Amino acid sequence: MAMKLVLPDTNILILALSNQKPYSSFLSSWIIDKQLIFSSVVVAEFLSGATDEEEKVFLSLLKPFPIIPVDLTVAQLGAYYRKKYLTQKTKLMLPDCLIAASCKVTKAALATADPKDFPIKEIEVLHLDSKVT
Amino acid sequence: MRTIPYATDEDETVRTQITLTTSLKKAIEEKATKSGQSLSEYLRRAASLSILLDEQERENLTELAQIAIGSVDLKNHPQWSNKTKVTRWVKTMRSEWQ
Repeated sequence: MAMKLVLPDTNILILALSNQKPYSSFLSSWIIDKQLIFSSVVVAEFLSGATDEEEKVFLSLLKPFPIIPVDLTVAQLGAYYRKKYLTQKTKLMLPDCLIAASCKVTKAALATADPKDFPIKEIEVLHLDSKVT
Repeated sequence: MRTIPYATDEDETVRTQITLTTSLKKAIEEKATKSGQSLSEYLRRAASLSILLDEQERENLTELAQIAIGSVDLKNHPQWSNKTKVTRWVKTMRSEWQ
């Protein structure tokens, strides 16, 4: 059986790439086991804070892995999540909805340092802090 | 240079059963015949090469992980120095969409 894909949120990428434990160990395993998948929203957020040198390394990290664009399917599903949870009095941020939609369409689990921002039942959210090895 | 593992003459062979599509079997037979190999020899070699490529890819990814992890220097990013600050930074950026 193929290993589960993991889509890292921007916060996980920053923590892992700056070698903060346990996130760096998780990211290392996902890279080596070829489990990674990226959201273009996450890529844009990371790059908006990275230096030129960090951008260069990050772009080489992206090369072997798929990057999910905000296409019509992701946009529609993201908008659906935003509306659905708003009717339940839960206001989700649109970037969070788009990231969640990317997870859903690729069947990837979301790795985030802020799981409470993703109460979306349709996706799997990894709780990394409880998986410290 | 790497040698192809698992395909040496000294290694004991075991009989196994596999299922192929008709067109793939035909293609393999054509290639094997051209190179003077039996179907089994051809498939053993193909499997060994596949393993070799997987191992090479894993080595490359391990090297990539080593380069990437630690590539962000926190001296340049006091706003990323711990989990609380990082989550706040991301949240602030996302709230700008509202």
